[in-house]
Amino acid sequence: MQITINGQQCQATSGQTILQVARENGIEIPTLCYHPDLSLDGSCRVCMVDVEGRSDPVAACMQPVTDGMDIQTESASAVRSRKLTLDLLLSQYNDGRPEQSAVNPDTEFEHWVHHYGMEIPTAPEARFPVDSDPNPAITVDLNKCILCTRCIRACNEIQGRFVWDIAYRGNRAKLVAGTDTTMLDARCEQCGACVAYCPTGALEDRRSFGVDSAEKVVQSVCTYCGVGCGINLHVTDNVITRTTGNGPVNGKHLCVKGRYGYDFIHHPDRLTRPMVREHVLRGEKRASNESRGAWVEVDWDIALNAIVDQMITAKNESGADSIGFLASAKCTIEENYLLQKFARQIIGTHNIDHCARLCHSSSVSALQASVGSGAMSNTMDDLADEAAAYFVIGANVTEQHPVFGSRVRQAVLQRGAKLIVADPRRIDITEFATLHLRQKPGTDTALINGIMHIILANGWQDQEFIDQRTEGFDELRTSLERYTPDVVTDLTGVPEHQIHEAAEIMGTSKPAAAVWGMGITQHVYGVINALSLVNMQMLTGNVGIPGGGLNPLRGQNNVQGACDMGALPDVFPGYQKVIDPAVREKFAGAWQLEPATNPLHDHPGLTVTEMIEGAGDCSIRALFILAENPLMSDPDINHVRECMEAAEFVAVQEIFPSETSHYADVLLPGVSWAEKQGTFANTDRLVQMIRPAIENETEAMPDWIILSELGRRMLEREGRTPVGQQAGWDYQHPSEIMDELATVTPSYAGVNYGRIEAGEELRWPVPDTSHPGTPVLHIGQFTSGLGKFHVCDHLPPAEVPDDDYPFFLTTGRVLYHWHGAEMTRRSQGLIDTYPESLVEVNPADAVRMGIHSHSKLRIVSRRGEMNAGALISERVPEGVVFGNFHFPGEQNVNNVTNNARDPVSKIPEYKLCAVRVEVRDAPDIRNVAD
Amino acid sequence: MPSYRMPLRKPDPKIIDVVESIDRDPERILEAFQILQSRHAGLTSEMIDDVAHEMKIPVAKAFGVATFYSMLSIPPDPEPALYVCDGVVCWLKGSKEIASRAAEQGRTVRRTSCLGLCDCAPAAFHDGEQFGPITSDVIDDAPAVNQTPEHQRIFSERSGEIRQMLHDIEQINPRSIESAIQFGAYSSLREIVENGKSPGSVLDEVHRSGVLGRGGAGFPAGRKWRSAAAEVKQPKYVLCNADESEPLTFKDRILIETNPHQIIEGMILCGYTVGSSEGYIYIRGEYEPQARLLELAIRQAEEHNLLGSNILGSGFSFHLHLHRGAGAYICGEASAMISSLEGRRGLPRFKPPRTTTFGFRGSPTVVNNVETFAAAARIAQIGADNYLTSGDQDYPGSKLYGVMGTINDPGLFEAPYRITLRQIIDEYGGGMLAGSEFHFALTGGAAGTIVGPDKLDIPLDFDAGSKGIMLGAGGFLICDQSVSPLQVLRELAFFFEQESCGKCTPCRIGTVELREKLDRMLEFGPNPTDLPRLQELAVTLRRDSFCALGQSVADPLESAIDQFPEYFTPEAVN
Repeated sequence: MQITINGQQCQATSGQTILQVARENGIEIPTLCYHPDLSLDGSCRVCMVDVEGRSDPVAACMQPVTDGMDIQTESASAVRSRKLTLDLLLSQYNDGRPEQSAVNPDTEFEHWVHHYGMEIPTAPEARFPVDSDPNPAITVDLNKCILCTRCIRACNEIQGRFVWDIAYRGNRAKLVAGTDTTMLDARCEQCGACVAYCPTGALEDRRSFGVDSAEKVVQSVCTYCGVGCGINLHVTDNVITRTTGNGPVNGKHLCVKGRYGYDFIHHPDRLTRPMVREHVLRGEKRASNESRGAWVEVDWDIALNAIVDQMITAKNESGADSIGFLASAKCTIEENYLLQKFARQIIGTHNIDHCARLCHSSSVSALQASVGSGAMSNTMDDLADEAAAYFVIGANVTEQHPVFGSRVRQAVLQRGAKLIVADPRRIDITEFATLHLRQKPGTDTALINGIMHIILANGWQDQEFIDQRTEGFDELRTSLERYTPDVVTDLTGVPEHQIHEAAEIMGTSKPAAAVWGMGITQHVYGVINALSLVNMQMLTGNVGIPGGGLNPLRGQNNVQGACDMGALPDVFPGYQKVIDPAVREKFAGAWQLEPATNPLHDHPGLTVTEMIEGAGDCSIRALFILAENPLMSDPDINHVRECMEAAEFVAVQEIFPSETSHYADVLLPGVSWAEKQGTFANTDRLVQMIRPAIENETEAMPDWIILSELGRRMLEREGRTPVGQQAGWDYQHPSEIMDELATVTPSYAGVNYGRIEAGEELRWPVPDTSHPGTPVLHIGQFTSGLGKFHVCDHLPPAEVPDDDYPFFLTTGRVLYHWHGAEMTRRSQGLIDTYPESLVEVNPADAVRMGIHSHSKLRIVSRRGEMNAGALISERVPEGVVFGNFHFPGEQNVNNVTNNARDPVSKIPEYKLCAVRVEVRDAPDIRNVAD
Repeated sequence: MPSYRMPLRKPDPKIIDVVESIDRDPERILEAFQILQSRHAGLTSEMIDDVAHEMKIPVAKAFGVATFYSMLSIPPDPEPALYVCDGVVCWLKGSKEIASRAAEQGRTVRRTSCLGLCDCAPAAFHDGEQFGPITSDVIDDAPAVNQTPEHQRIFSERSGEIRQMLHDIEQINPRSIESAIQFGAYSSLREIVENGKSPGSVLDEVHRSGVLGRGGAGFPAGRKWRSAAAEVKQPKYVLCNADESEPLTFKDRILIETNPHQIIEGMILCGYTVGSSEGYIYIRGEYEPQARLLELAIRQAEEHNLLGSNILGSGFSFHLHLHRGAGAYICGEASAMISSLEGRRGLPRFKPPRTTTFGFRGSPTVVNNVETFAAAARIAQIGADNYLTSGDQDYPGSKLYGVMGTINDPGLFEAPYRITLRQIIDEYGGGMLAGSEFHFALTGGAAGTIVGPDKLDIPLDFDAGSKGIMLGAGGFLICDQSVSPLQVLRELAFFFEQESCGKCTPCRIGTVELREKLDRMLEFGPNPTDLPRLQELAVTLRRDSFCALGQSVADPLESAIDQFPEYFTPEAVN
């Protein structure tokens, strides 16, 4: 249809609003309560426009167009009324400035005031207390609130937390959190969506309060989790003053860490110069294992040469496999490629691994074995938009992948998608669950088998899919016969009717997505757990379709990329196996040096935990650690500490001194993600670019420059020269590394900086430069041809409670911190929110043991102990406690965890061990529930 | 502290009982709050928190709902409050002084907007009972309103009345369905059922009568019913708007008090014609005695199988529920009423879609005023032909009028359309009081017009607004020389300020500015900028307000400026 706006002919389609058509045609209509991401409200009345033939004006944001409509947006009467409306808002608007002042066009409201030639009047009397909420991350000043309700809608429709609403009526109406209490009391997660959508500054990021508009805004990718939110870094005077959401995964949304966890970049603890231990400089052995002696700040030459010296010594004396490398899922794709290239090409070892070992190695093993590709099969987009049902197991999705978690909430709220959450803990997402299966810790396979048993009993399986695309079904069917509901209820503690209900949802909803996290993987039978999920998804034909699939949510910002780049002991970049002679030959050629040294092994190298143990027994004589902190994140820290104390030589490349750098001999200062360029691959295989927003004015250098410098020095010292096409180390720009790795990594063959800069959303495999990427894997055929069912049986955990250690301890993370929390403990808004280690205890256990909410607890296992505050909560079932590994030293739960490993993937069993809970203070049973 | 480090507070078992009693239905959250209000003289934040948690609705939303309604006290009052009406009629009769004296005596006193007891002014509401006229000394001993001579006046017909909706009220016992049936109640329903008349033919009859909606806008009810009947979506709902809160207006209260079955029958017929089997009466919370009367009538009708499943064996079912408001004028706006009925804040909704397409629970919904349903029932009883020949030739039928102020015989009457203000004063109202001279009248309600002598002879109908005098909901306040139109306008501005829902800018803040300006003008006299600013305000309120509440603030304002410009300019006052 055609309409006319201010005399301009505009094409329009039925269902569009006047505002939409106007904006499409570049016609500006002022708005305040409207935002395209949010539902309509129509309350501010500044978008009122005149329509020919109608006596009353209409709200452009809400009024649907009709054919032939003739609209005037700036008629004299419309403008007069609009100015009066703005004037009414201004009559109660107090921005805290004492004198009449020029408008600050930073906010939408002040922009429009300015646009209509008006001024912010001398501030009227403040109607509300300024900064009325003690929230650590967000300031509230209702004197600037115009009641547009965008914050309410953002909280409800994006984050799904329902913190805000309008209370009271008329001019007494005001924005309230909960029952007019504080935001945190109203269960705010501090994602800051309300702030992002506030058009006046009534809600403001506390750390950005009063900061003028940024000199520049740089688009990057969040450095925390695997969701991969696009993030704008606002910079003034080389300081990041604010972050805002901007990316294909998240739109404007961010979580609390993405939005408020950036100030660590400017923390005084940042490493600024390379450092070497005194004894290393003297060329001596250290005096004792207890202390490595004093640090000496040195220049880059000395520091890098110290590493080169030790590596050459170790290599010459004990062979290439006496050197080990821990890569980093926090670093870029390019940097991980370089480190494994360094290990394999220059040193000649497969001893390279990283924290993926500790999170999803069991998923990768299981997926490789069954469907041929170790990555998440679908995208968060298609899951959020199309899944009819979700089976979320062992994934605390709203805390660990918060932006995706909020999209799952919205799928339930807005589309009525069914949500099954299987988790021993009553995690936040269970509030939205159709069904919460609260299995006993460690009984996941039994539960999934029980669900499949009922699916088969009712004929809900997708027989066509099974017949055409899978093998091994008969063995699976036979194996499931013994998982009858009564047996499974007995094993898992989940009532039979709930198992039935879950089976019915999974058996009759399509597409249905399996989503899992470390609750599945971090067990001695982690691979079996993951395989049983593959079984269920193939049984119901939910693989290879949008909204379905096999979805291990990857943890780190670039853990997918680090795996893709072969920062693993068994594969080259692109999961090309080291046991494959053709692959070895290919890389020997590409990376060929003259003179050549011994060819690479035909068997995989050591894993993370094995390398640390190797350092402990000195079979690893030089350990190079790129931005990892095993002394926080590995299980059984006491054992790790013993190994690190004994280690002959440790080099650490970091941005902060860490618990691990305590045991380092050389410490190299890298730069943060906001100071360098490169790419991250998020959990759904999307390759995105980070860009330098600020300049590091110290001697610290981007990791890719440090690594290439190290490579050149090694080659020079060894007198070798690059011969192969991809053998060189002279990189001027990270894009050159990407171009190189693309030539040896088939799944990245079509990825380059030009395409990413052009805004292409490339999800690997991208086999060539004209290929658009592959959002959903396994469509039509599995990577491995037929999908393989595996018989999976229920097994017991490595350690179970007994009289001495009567509690199950399970571990994980919390919303406000990230892993070892080196960054989040140095971000004010986050550490103020969650300042100490807390262990969750069920109220019944608390009452029994006299634990109250201010109790200090000691958690003791056979391996060690930790101290923590008590968090009495029904989030954990009776007999189970939950701790996190965000706080160092005595507060770290990994002092207690078990290093027992899955035989296939070598993942440690973080999720379960037996502990004793001791109360360190005098019990006070009066205040158990206060 | 992390958001989940919440105190582990077990909800009060008594609150669980309350929540159970409303079936944990979020739509009925207002009922839960009303129960708590009646038990504790108000609500604490903890109670609201518990209710929200038990009903699994967001706490902020529950708090938003609870604080929206003026009959809910947060935090609780020390005792059930005495609500003294400051509606314009009660104000004229000195209710403000009575309220402050009662407060001095240690009573918990709260102001309230018009209680709909204008015939018994000054009036008050306390613990579910209505009182009036009250004096400062006798509040508790004041007679309940339906015992007063003022109220009894309705039972004798005035000369010139045509009693259709008020037929036989002097004989009907409102507490007895047998009595109502004796005087014709449900006879048309019975006839329709027994003769198997189609919904279409009943609709035709209503449509042909041309009966106009009585909420104030005069939209033809037949057309509304026809659009709802044309909708295919089920279920459909019939809503009776008994949230009568327009100052000067108490006609619906009288209709309920005198013949509740007539209203119920009107709703059943509407349900039959549009294909709905469920109805709600939304009655304002201050009409508690009337609500109890309606509950009794509904129960009686159900016992007689005139309501409920398979009415009179016809296969047609119609279930009727009563919902009490809790003090909010805005809930008389149809879409706000629906929001309130759905358990949300009573905020108006954007139209289109119209409520007949997308109303209660997103379903096709007919919302009509009490008087409209009463008229429809009467039309069904006497036939459209008889209705069309009654009253004014060009504007047939009858209408309820209320007249108050400085006249000899105030009260309610039923008369044809197109009578004049002069007739209302002289013929129906018994003339001006001795010593009183007509100065001006407020016509139609607060959302009405302030008119001087030159409007006395304009025939009143729903189109008279274009001639500067509004019929509105049919309320008329006659003022003599002792009253200033500016003072009345100030009271109206105060009313709108109190009752604005606060959603849209012009109404939320514009009414505050209007009232503040009038306060200042009354104290210090107008200054030269006042008139242009008020005119601008009026334009923006009418143009840009979200709903009729804000838009109609311009009616008394602009008419007062037009009729009494001397009050708005400095020269005239000096």
